[in-house]
This record gives sequence, structure tokens and C-alpha cells, in this order.
Amino acid sequence: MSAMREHLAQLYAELGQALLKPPEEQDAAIEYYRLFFNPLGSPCPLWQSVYEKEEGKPPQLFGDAHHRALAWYRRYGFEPSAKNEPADHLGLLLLFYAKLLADGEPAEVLEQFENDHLRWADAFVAKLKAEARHPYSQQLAQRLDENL
Amino acid sequence: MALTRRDWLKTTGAGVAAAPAALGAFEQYFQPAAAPSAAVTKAISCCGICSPACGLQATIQDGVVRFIEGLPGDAHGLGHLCGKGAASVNYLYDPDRLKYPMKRTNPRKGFNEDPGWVRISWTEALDEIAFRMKQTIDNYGREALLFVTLPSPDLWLRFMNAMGVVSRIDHRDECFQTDMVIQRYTTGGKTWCNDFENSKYILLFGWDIVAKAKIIYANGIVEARKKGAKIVHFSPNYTATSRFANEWIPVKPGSDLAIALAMIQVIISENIYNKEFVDNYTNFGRYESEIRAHFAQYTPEWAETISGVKAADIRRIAREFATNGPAIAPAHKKTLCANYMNGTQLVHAISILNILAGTIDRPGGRYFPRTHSIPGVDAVYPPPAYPAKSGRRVDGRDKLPLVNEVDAGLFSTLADGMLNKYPGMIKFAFWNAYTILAFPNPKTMEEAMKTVDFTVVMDFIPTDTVNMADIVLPSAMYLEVNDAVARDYNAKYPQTVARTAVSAPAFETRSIGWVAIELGKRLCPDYFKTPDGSWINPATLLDEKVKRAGLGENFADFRAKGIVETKQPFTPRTSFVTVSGAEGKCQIYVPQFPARGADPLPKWVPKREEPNEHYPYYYMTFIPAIHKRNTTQNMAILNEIMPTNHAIINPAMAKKHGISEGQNVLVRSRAGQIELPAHLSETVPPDVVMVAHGFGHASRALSKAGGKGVRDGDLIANPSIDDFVKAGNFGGSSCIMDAVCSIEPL
Repeated sequence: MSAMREHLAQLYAELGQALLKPPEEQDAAIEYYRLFFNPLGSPCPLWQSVYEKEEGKPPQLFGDAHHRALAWYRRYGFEPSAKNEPADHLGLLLLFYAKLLADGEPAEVLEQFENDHLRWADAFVAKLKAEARHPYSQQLAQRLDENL
Repeated sequence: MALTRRDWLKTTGAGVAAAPAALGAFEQYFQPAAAPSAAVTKAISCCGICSPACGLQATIQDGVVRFIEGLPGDAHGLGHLCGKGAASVNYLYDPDRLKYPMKRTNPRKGFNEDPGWVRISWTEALDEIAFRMKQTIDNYGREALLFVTLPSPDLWLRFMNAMGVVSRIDHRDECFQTDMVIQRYTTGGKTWCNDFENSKYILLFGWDIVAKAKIIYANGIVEARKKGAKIVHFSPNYTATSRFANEWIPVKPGSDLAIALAMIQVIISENIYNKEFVDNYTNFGRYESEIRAHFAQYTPEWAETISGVKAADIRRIAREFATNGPAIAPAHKKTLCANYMNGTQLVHAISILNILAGTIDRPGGRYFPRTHSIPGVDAVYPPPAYPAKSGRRVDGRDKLPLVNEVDAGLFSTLADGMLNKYPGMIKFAFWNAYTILAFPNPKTMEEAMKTVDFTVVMDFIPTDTVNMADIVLPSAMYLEVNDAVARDYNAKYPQTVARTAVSAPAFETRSIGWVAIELGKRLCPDYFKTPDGSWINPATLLDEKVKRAGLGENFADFRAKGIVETKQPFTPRTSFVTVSGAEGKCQIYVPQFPARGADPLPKWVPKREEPNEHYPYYYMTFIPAIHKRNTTQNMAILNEIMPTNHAIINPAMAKKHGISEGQNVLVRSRAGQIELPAHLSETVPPDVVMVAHGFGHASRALSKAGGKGVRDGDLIANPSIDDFVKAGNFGGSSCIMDAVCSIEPL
């Protein structure tokens, strides 16, 4: 089972990193920024808060999901290195999930984190699948779809 | 098919630690937690939605603003925020915010081109911008630079001055520029403050002051009414202010000037002006014969033919205004000052009414703010001499010498200058926090932007201008910066509130002041050094400003106080206009004007366009209470309340054209056409089509506002500077709703 854990930790770390780091090839990088950081509107926002409407509040950055994610990270002694960015970036969440896997956290903990922070990713992946126009993003969408 | 996480979780128990192959990436993006989590604190700051910058308190959890509310003791908000201010956390954490510097990779520009954005570092962005600016100056001279920005903050203005920028353009010709021009010569400076609460008679020309959520003004009107003041509202349409006023008097659009001129005629001919003030503090005596002769023609009967208001009512209101004081006739932004071609004349007439009422800088009148003197960067660190601004201004402002003196505008003539007067002159443009929706006829402005070789856009939300940018810079928002903000709308004694960064600048956003220093280091380093040779540091500069203004030992000390005020009795001014020849008096007749291409006394000038056989209706625009011009439509809560605009028409007009509620209509003018749903309302006269400003953002980037509604400006004909000179519009009123239109059902 530890081999499976290692495999999954590696998988989710890779997926997380793929969302955090733009590809080096220019056309793929343009696609990455078009999808996620487009100054003309990002079709696939990467942050959980944007997908979760809190009562009485519109979707926004740094919402409740950001605070809950930070609490998770801090419980394990960590916080994101980027101080002024939301902690509920899907890439960070997947990296942290990989860390939980790698550290041998029990299934209940993994499931709790999944419930808290990964279920919304279905909506993200659906957007990504619909918006992807480049082999890079189409493959990324497919890998996420298969593994989330 | 790959084994999924869910499949695996079903089969696994407590884990055994896996090999740490994945941890390299984790360590790159995470670090050991440094701070204990989730302390909830409160901090003071100032709103930035509109210019009064009401004080606010932010509730902050772990560096994130969760809630904001009014600041007790603040002279502007009086402990409250308007809906726009209260919703500004939506602004701060809008998912659409610009986050990093970005560069276009596709050289083709246009609304249908994918710019191919990629992220670049601030260093790369600033290097590129500096290179392009220098290249432009070397090849084409300083007149090839265009800066579309307010002249603030002071560090940014220093940069533009140091670079000898000729064409710095801002929106104030669509706002209160005419009043800046007029008051400089009639009262001695812009009288921001309206002492409504001590006024007994409040005369409003068009301004829907109750609905426009400047708390200090709306509150003043309410207090005045409670204390028995009479409020009279001239307005073509019935507004919240009309309902609140004692009298609503409908007028034909653009005819307020005729009423104001006739009121002056009544007050002067009946000698019912405030004799004590007029004799002692104005130039009436010196120019009495010219003044009496000039206004004699403007009888209430004459004004009735133009405005539709009965002569008896004009005469009665003039008498009440002059004798039931203290009386006040405020002139503020947009409404009055910039609506029509006769805006400058109207503002002059209104200034004279206030002078005749004798309430300039008197209780119940328009007064000059008493503020702490907060020095700018040029006072703290005196700069080397700035280079002369040599070259042509693309907006043609030099043809309006009085506007040149106040150094505002001109948005309204920029497109004409870029496309027709000086085509191809502008090679480099820097847009700071403005969208093309702000221009009369934004379509023409789009065309003008396409003629520029290199464009930088700095903003905090992705407005339509981003489409044309080569480099996009993400701006910090007003809740992310520190400053000292003087109260200058309610300022009988000085009060200053600390604007504190209640949230750290998100992502890689930066302030325009920081950009000024960084570009300054690259292009004009001598202007950005302190006397000891080090670079100017914005934090040290703010400490010094605070200290010199007497607000605290440094900014931290001032921030701890939050509000600093210096209570002192209100001593009315006895000396007013300072320009040569005024001898310290308020000027009804302005003898300096003719040499500057202006009339010494206000005269009747018609609005630019009147209904005709092709376009039989008046076109009016308005700024709805729930939005700030064209900047808040993407704020989620405000968007939910008012997401779009309509053609608001009277049921009688609807019946005549067979239009029903909600039906799409085509509204045309000589400048263009718009399609939008109709809304039927008795509040609008039967010969007016009314459309709210601020909608029709084309930018797909605005996830809430993008694509909703239409641009009111698409019906406004683009003016040229020659039109202004010809029409005697020497204060440069931008004619933001000077149009006529037709309507038909779709």
C-alpha cells in the first residue's frame, strides 16, 4: 500500500504543480495565462472561494475556503510561501493533499480534507474541459478529470 | 483507467509513510507556519469609491478584511458608509482583479484579437515601459506621450513633471472643471463645502443630491429640512430629491441657465441682494452699471419661453432665495457643471447667485474647507527644476486658457485630437485607472486608442482599456495603501483620517506611487533622490508628511490615533479672489475674463442640440445612486441590485410609439444608436429618453458587468475644441448629455 500512496502522492503533487507553475513552451504558457490569469477574464478561476457562495456574500477571493485551508495547513505546521495570495488555490490544495498522503495520514483525515477542499474541483475541471483549446490544457483537464 | 483517489480511499486504512518523492514541490510552495492563526482585529481606513473618502473600520481576520463599516467621529461619513462603500470588500477581493504584470504577445490589437497574455516580472515590465518612453521621446518628442490619469498622487505627478509630459488628461471636464474655472475668479477657489444644515433656503439645479450617495451632502439636506429649510429642485425628471424637496419645478433639459440668469435679474433689479456682503466683499459697486445693463435683458418672462417655468415662479423663488436666507445654490459634479454646452455659463450664474445671497464662506452657504496642511513630496524633497512642457497638447486645451490654468481635462476632445487634429502624434500612452466608458462617445475613443503604438494600462479591475494594452499593470486598491486623508467636504475645522492598508496588496499589485519611483529610477533619477542621495521611500515620505502636518510623530503614531482634528471657531473670510485686479473681492463681473477668451458676465447660450424633425426627443443620462459612474458595475452586490440599464420613457411616449414595458427599443442620435429594453415611468417627461450611465462594459473580463447594458455615450456626438471655443464654452463643459434622439420599438 505504501507504493500506492507514493504513486498517488506523486500524482497529486504533479497535478498541483501543473496548476501552480506555467509551462515553459510559449504557446502552452499563453494558454495557461488565458485560462487562469487572463487580464481579460479568466474562464477557469483556480480558487475554491470563487466557487462557493457564502451566505449573504458573493463569490470572492480570500473567502471562507481560504481561511479553512489556512487552518488545515497550520494544523500541520505549514502555510503557503506566497503571503498575499489565497490559500485555497487548487494547486496548493492538491500539493497539501499529496503531503498528507506522503506523510501517511489515515484515510479519515484524507477524506475529511477531500470533503473540505476538493469536492468543488469538479466544477473547476468541468470549466477547464470546456475551455481548453491547446493540447497542454486538454491533457491537464483530462488528467484532473480522471484523478479527482 | 487510472485508479482514482476515491477508489483508493475505499480500500486503504491508516497509511504508512510513503517515500517523500513528492515533497520537493511542496517545499517550493509551502513554508513552516510563522504566525498563530485567526486573530480578529479592527483597523481604521478610508473609502476610495468617491472623493469624500469616508472613514471606515475594517474587521480583519488573519490579514483578510471580512467586514467594513462606518467610522464614528469621521466628519464625512458621520459613522456610516453608503451602499457602494459598504460593498467595497467585493472590490478588494473581486476574482476578476488584475493580479500580475502581463505582456501582450500578439501585436494585433482589437476587441476580437486574443492578446496572448503572458506574465512578466515587475522589473521586466518597468524596463520595457521605460525603454518605450525614452524611445518615444527621442524619436518624436515629449508631445508624443499621453498620460490618461489624475495628477495624483504627488509622486506620480512628480514623475510626469520630471518627464515633461505635455498631454496629461483627466476626466474633470466631465465633472467640476467648469466650477474650478469660475470659482477661481468669482470667489477665490473651489468651495467644496456646502453648509446645508445651517441653510434656510436650498436651491438645486438638477442635482439629485439625495440619491447621490455622498453621505455628507445627503445628510446635510436632511438636517436642513428637519430644521425648517426650504428646498427647491429644478429638474426635468422627478427624482428622489424632487420628492424630498418642498418644491419640484420641471424644466426643459438644458434650460437651467435661463432660470439662473432671470433670478439674478430679479434680485438685482429689485435690490434684494445681501447688501452688507455685496457692498463690502464684491466688485458689484465697481461694475454696477455693466452688471445691471447686462442682466436687464434676462427677465423671468424671457426665461419662461426657454425653460417652461412660469415667470411668476421664477420671480417668487428669486425673491425667496434673496430674502429667506441664509441661502445656498450648490454646484457639484457632472450635473450642472458638465452636462451641456452652456455648463460654464450656468456655473458662473450660480456662483453669482451665491455671492448675491452673501453666503460665500458664511454659515448656511458655500465655504472654503479648513484643512490640515499636508505637504506634498515637492515640499518635503524639493525637486530639481522641471523641464519646460514643450509641444502640442493633443486635446487642444491650450485654446481654452482658463482651463489650462486649472490643469484638468479634457476627456471630451481627446479622441478628436488623436484622430483628426493631430493624427498619429501620440505614440505612447499610459492609462491609470480610467476606462473608455468614461469618455463621451467611447466608440471614437476606441478608434483613437488603436492609433497608439504602445499602451500601458494600470488598473485594479480589467476594464475595456485592457483590450488595447501592450502591458497591463495590476494596481493596489485603496484598502491596501497608507495615506493621510484630509476632510474637505465637511471642514469647518481641520480633521484628517488615517487611510491604512487594512489588507496587504493582493498578488503582485502595487501602487502608482511605487511605479512612479521605479520608473523615475530608470528615466529621471535625480527627481527621486532624497538630499542624502538615497532613493525616495514612500513610507519615509509619509512619515515626514504626517510629522510636518502635525498629525503625529510618524505614520504609525497617526494611525494609532486614527482621526486627528483641530477644533477651532469658524471665522468667515473677509478676503476672497487673489488673482491680479480682484483686490481680494468676490467678482460678479470678471474683468480678467475677456483677455482669456471668456465673457465677463454669464450670458444665455443654448445647449448644443435641440429636438428636431429627425431626433425629436431630449436625451438625458444619469448616474444611478447604487453605482459610482462606470467603476462599480462589477461589484457583485451592486451588480445584483442594478445589473443593467434601460431606456426610461414616459408612458405617453411609449403609447405614441407602441412600446411596452421591457420591450427592446432602438434609440438613435446623430452620433450612433443603442438597443436596450424600455422601462416606463411617469418620472420622466414625455419628450425625454433617459439612460443610466456606467453600463455596456464590453470587457469579457468583468464577470458580472461584462456585456450587460449599453453605453450611454454611444449617442453623444464627439466634440472638438473648436466647437467649445465657438460656443463660448470657455470652461470646457464636456457636454456629456448634450444630445437629442429618436426612439422606435424593436
